[in-house]
Amino acid sequence: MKGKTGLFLLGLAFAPGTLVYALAATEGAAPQLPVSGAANAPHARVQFDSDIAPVFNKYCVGCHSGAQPKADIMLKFKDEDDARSRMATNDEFWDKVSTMVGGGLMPPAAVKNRPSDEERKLLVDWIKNDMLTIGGKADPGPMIVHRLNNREYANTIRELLYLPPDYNPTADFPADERGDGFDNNSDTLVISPVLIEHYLDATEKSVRRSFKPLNEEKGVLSEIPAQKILDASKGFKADFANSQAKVRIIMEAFLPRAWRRPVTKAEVDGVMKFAALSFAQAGESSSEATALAIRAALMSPNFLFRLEQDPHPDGTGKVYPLTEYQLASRLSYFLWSTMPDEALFAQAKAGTLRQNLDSEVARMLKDPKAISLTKDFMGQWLEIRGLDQTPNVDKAMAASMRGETEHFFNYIVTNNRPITDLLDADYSFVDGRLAKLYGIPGIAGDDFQKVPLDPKQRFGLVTQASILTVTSKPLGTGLRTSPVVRGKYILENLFNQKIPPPPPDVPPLKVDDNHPLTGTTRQVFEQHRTNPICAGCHARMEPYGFALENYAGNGAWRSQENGIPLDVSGEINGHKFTNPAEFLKVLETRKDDFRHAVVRKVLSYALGRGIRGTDRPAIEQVVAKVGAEGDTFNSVILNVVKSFPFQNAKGGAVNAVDAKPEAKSKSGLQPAGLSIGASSK
Amino acid sequence: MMIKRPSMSRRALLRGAGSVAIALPFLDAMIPESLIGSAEAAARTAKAMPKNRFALLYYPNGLESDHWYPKTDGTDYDMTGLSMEPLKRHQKDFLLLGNLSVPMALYDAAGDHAKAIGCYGTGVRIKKTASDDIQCAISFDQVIANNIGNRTRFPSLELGLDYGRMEGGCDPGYACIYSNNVSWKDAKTPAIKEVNPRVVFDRLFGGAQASDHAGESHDQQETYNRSILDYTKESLTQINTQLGQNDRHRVDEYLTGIREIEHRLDAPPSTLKLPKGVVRPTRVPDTFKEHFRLMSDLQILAFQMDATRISTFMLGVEQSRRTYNEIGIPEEHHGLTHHAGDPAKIAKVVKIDTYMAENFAYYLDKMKSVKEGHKTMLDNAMVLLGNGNGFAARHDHDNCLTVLAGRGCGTLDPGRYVKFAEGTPMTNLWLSLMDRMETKVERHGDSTGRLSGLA
Repeated sequence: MKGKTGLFLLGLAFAPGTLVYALAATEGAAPQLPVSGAANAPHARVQFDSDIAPVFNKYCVGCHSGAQPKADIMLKFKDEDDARSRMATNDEFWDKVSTMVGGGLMPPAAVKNRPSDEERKLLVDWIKNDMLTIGGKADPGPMIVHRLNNREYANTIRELLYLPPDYNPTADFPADERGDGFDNNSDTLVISPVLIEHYLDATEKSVRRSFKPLNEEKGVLSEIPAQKILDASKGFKADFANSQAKVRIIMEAFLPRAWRRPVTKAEVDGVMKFAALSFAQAGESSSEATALAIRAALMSPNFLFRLEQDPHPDGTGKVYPLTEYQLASRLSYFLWSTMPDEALFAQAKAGTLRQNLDSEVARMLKDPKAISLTKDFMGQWLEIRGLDQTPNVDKAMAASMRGETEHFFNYIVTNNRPITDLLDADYSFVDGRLAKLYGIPGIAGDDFQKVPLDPKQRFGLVTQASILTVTSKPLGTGLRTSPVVRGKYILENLFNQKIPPPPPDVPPLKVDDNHPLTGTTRQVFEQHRTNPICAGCHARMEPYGFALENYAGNGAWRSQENGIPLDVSGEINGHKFTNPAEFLKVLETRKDDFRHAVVRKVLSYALGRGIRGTDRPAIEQVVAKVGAEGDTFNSVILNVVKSFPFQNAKGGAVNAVDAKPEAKSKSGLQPAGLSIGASSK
Repeated sequence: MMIKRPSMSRRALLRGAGSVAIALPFLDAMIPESLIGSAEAAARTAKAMPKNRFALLYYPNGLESDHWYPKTDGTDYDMTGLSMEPLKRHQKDFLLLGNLSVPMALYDAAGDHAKAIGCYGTGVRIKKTASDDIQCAISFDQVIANNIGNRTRFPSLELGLDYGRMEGGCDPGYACIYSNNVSWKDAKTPAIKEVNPRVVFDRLFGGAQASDHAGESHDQQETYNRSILDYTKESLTQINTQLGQNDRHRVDEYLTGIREIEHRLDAPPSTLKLPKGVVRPTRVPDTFKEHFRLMSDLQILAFQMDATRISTFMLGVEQSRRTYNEIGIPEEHHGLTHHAGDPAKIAKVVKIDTYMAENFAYYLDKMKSVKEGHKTMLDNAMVLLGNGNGFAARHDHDNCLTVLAGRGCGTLDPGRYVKFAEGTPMTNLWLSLMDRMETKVERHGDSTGRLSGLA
């Protein structure tokens, strides 16, 4: 067994250089887009001492002050700077306050002394304009180094190595951790030895799969995937004799694609050492040498991480616009969950991507790869990816339910329909199984068809079996409805309204198959409202759930429960309704909240991080534009793409101190917060 | 057990070890057959005392405690009719520990499942966040792994039966990463677990023969991997100088992971042969029972082969939605635990707790079946079945399920139900267990001292 020294016998002594290859550097100049966010938004100047502080003092400080302010939210301020400093230790502070005050959730319903609508608006506007900015300047927020998640890795490997769509290099990988509801959240995409071993293994297998087993006599790579790599290398094709020069030609073409940016000569030299190693170990075989160099390139952090390095780092944490290549990667992982294609690379190379965003986004949304927006963004946002894990739902039915919502959403994507179709569309897509469940005649088989809906019974998302099912609870071998879960789902996922979790020790609804209900679900749930601890939140959630009581746990229509005719009437924000069609009219009054919810979720998925308080100005701006542009799906995507946090990044602040005194390990061996690299021995 | 076999010296086993000292476990293969049972063999056994092992089996959601704990403590307590009754045949081999709690989980209002597990092995108050700035802490098993993990090929082994939800959120306010992991390498990085028995088997025992390195010899393969890892380290180091603090953490994770793999490559190839009858698993079993047993077998096999001495095994993620159709319970375990006093639901929760005890009894059977000299592996191990939620219906994080089986190489005196003072931090047990894994620390999280009365 050879030691690890002296391996690079044929290591080449290239002079270090800065020559840039293949995709070549015409790095994008600073973006020409107007800067979005609060920075440019003029607003009437309110005075903290005379306008704002008195409102907090009148309604809030009773609970939110002193040594232990409620919910750790301290609303007694020395001055405006003190108020702003809350963000230093809790960057969600002002967003949270704004949500609670603006949504009417605070002060609690039981409190008599309540602010007027004008006072609420005053606080919300002041928070938006004065608190959620950094010194009046927009903040793109932090971006943790983003590891390719399993989906992104598999898609990228397939694309890069020309492997077939059914090839899945991550089949055996541990599942990605998720953050804020998405599996592309860079905060939770951790790395561990287990994963590195999987990467080593998957890399080797994938590269081998991409290269035809070597034909020693001819000494050529003859399988198509490898040939494509060759084609990409400046037209070099025939007579694949053994020489480092030829491997080099391939790597000069391969590396910029794999690392999604131009590379330097030194970086090519780096992987060429592996060609040398292969020649020394395995003899004169260019294909083996190329394969090994590619394996090294694919283990590099330049491949596995979506690095967005500050082009001119100075350690001050300054904001900088993304380079064109960085923008190309953000775009393609956002819309396709894979690497940029040749057209995107070409735009980045020419420095024209930023000026052609409209046409590029439109092109990308038409590409079949945009299906990942449906499968992965929507599937996680609307939680239907979990249908397979929902107890008591048969697999075929689960697939049909998911199929409906996927077809529906993808139709909106590919036809650039208004996102409000998600609320009130009068069409959907069903296969035979769902048609039977919905009572739609004349449709059989596994293929989905677009069908008009009976507006008295079905409209938009909320009456689709998928969503009705994931918001139900198992009971016996079937499902029962949960007006609370349905209401919470609608408020949180569709209307961007956070509901606090129930306090501990509250007895849940007493329902059991051994003790059949004597009333309807609604009648039983309404008993909960008698508990004042529960009443506040439940009064907000349940009207949405009760309105959907015509839909059984699996989404089938019903007009009675346990022999009792259903009461599906209610009142939301002063709007009364007595049946689903009238309920739809109420949903339509909340389109602005719906836009907020969609934009927030899309932005979070696009950035691969949770939404922070400082994103609120950008969100407001995108929401306003989307509304003005007819709510089209493209408008949502394009405005998110053009938003300040998507277009910009914040450089690394060297020696930035993590100001988090809480929750550090006190373990004698290793205080948490130290980097693990420094403490593994 | 008396299969003819050549005896071998420890030196033979160590051949090729290079400069890395690898402590070997005692293997009965090393005692010449003629000596078995003799005084000399006993002396040799004592000298070649095996190293202690530690396994944590984490049972999510908590217990229906009223139906689990016996009425009296001490020895010979009566477990008839209790959900722990399936453990009766092992009564002399485990300690039932009462009143251990996870007080750090009482902070920050709701989110009890995330806190139950996040605070369990760490003893810290975890940061309430849905993704930004995850803050947990190193768990005690990883403290041990950092200290003595370099003696085995794998510093520790993390196993599980599921990865949790694939959509939506988990416990309100807390990222799923908390609910999904009991082992943490540091404040931001859980030790990722594997749930596929085949993948675990290949990782532990497969080595070169498991994969199809067409044409590449094992040595060549290793040379390549080492070079690739070297190269990757260089790239990471270079990148790190250009990144801010938060970014550096992810890069450090990668660097640390590589060092661990390099350590493994440096270790001599294991000369231990897999016991007869061991076959490579081919699929993920459908039922809890089959999956649990297969993963248990692998954990025990990993100890037997001295691939590692520290392992955690999550029987489910916190707030697990698992249903138990195989024992006639189609409802989700978690949902049932919120029974609000409903006797029918309580009966089902108790049935699930009983089922878990049955499966744990299987685990202990299995460990006892592995002979190590004149003892069994259970004599040379500490196996903990535990949870941080306490009474499941209440999420009180108090009197949390703690069954500590095994003799820990003579450092534990099992066969008793020991009650500690109410509210005794679980981390005090961790200190005591770390001691027994040659890892002395002053404090771990919220610990206040060591437990007495275990031996």
